[in-house]
Amino acid sequence: MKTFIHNFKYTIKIIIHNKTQMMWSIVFIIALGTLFYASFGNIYEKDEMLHSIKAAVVIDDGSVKQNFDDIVANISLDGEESLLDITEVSGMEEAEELLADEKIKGIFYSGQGELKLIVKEEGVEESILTSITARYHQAVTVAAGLSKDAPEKIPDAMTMLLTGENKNIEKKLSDGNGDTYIQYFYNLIAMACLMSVNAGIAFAVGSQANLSSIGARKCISGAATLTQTVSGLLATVITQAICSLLGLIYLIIIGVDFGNQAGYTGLIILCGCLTGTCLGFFIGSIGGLSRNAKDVIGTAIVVGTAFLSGLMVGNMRMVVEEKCPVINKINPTALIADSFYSLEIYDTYDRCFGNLITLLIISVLCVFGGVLVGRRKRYASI
Amino acid sequence: MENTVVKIENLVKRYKETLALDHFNLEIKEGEIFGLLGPNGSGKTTTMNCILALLTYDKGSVEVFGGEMNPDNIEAKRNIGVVMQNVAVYDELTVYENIDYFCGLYVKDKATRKKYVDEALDFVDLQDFKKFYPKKLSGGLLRRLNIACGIAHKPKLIFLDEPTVAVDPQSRNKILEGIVELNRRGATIIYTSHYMEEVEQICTRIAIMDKGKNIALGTKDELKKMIKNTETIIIEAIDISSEDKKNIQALSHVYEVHTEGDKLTIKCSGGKHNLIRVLDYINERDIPCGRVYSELPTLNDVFLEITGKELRDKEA
Ligand SMILES: Nc1ncnc2c1ncn2[C@@H]1O[C@H](COP(=O)(O)OP(=O)(O)OP(=O)(O)O)[C@@H](O)[C@H]1O
Ligand SMILES: [Mg+2]
Repeated sequence: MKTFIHNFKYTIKIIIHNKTQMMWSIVFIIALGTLFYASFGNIYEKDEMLHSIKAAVVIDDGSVKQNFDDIVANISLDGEESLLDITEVSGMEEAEELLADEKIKGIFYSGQGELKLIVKEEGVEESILTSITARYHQAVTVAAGLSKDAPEKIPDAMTMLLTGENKNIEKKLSDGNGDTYIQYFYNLIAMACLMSVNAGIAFAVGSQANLSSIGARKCISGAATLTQTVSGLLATVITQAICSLLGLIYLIIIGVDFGNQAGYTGLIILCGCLTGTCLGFFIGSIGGLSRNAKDVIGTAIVVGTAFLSGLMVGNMRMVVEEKCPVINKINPTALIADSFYSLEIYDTYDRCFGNLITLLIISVLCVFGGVLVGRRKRYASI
Repeated sequence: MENTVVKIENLVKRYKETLALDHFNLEIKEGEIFGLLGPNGSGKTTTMNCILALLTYDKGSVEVFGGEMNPDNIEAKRNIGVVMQNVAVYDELTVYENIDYFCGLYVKDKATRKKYVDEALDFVDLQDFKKFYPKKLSGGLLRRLNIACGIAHKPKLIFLDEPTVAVDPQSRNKILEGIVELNRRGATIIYTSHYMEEVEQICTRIAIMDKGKNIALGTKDELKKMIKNTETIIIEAIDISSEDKKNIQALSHVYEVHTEGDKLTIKCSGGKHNLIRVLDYINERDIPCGRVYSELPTLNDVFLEITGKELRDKEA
């Protein structure tokens, strides 16, 4: 345990003293962040207005219609304008056409005694439509339950369910409307987290006898390899997370809104840096590659995943989602950015946690892979 | 006392094409300062890395402290200290921190470690530089830091791979004295070098290796006895005829005479009064000459005679 702490302490010292690497991740966020902010600033503010969401309703089955009309009528913004702006359509075909042309955000389809929601993209507005649907289903379930035991209470319960808690939705609309722009900042922090790949590579190279003399010295020392690896990785992750956090704080200071769930935001950053470091550890452990080659691969991964996640081209992630959704499911930068996004947008943490779990799985796989590749404790050549 | 600390049997190590160790044998006893002598590329570093279980090898066995050496033998590793040929220190840490870091991989107790680190600083005379970063140290000081990092934890078995390269003569002497002192306190030392003077000065036993083979082994006197040459007489500024040369060659115990410009070198094997006999002959013939001196064989002669080549390029 003492060796663990000793190694942990010194690894942090070494990383902190290596100013170039430290500075990079922070300077990077500050530079790009300022740039983004300067160019999006105006648009960002203009968009902060409430407006209603356009949707269409397609009815195949009249039994649903009555309740649904109640909902639409009852959900309003500031008690004035209706939240939903229902576009009249003749049938499913027309509705789908409108959706494709982005004239509406979603279609409520009612048929076979059920209400379904069809959306094209993911965003604040779509998520609000989703929660309206959920609320409807909830109302139906409650009504069904009450109709057996206490039918006289149904009207009250319905009113409560249908009109209650609009606040949350309103907040989403007003906050999240700049989402196209805030996405850039999410991606920026995500990329900063992933830059810990470089620190991971440096750590791996510095721990293996065939990769560096210092590695050789560590290998022949009296401390167990496992202790050295785990404490070193942990130290690397934490220092990297602090760097990213400093960058984030800078963004918040200049006025980017990262919401108010500080704990979860920190958790996302920690997971992000963990994934980056572990990925770097894996790359760094591969024998037969020069240090230079490893650094190039590391940088390529950082830039590549950031590109696919939409740091350079805003709607890249949507494009990927259509063409090859798997990539978004495993692209660490996209997962990190999406976690920030879902934290802000959704009422539940399911999606955010889902992303974090994927990140953890990637990290574990990488550490395993790294240990497996570097496990050969004797080397053919030094 | 006579415990075997390192035992290598029939070790064969191949780097792809190169045969680095060729059925190499070695046995080192507790309390020795063992010198491993050999020209560049003879396999000294490879031998060390095999003993340390850093390298795979094709054949043979390595035992350390009486047990088989492998990467998981933490117990053995704890008692070993290594000063590597390449400087291996963190540029990001100061002199003190570097020693403390590497020492801390062996010594857990903080107070003990502090004491050890201080002693190591004294040992290599770096107290004045302890707050310096390695980048600010000269080549020699860096070497000394490298030594301190390897021995601070007071190991029982110490490997030193050419530790004195680029170190100035005063510091080199101090280091050599220090090594002898470490040995007196109970450490077994394996010392690799191609400076024969150092090896002659401190080593109790010496192995000469070439092309991955152990070609001679013994104390320095034993090694010197292994060769024909016992004395070399050199006469400078001499003008000598080839007939005189032949006559000198004919003197008893003389086995080789050659001239290099006006310098005459006479090699003798055995006999007690070779110098007097040579001088008598010169005196008799009244041959003019300059400085005359006689040299006992050095390890270099031993090496030269056994392998037919110089141990080391002349001082660079
Ligand atoms: N990693 C390696 N890959 C291939 N060949 C190697 C490697 N390391 C050493 N060799 C070869 O093995 C032989 C022995 O090398 P080694 O480093 O053990 O010599 P050495 O006695 O330590 O030499 P020096 O005095 O220069 O340090 C040399 O021929 C060298 O070229
Ligand atoms: Mg060597």
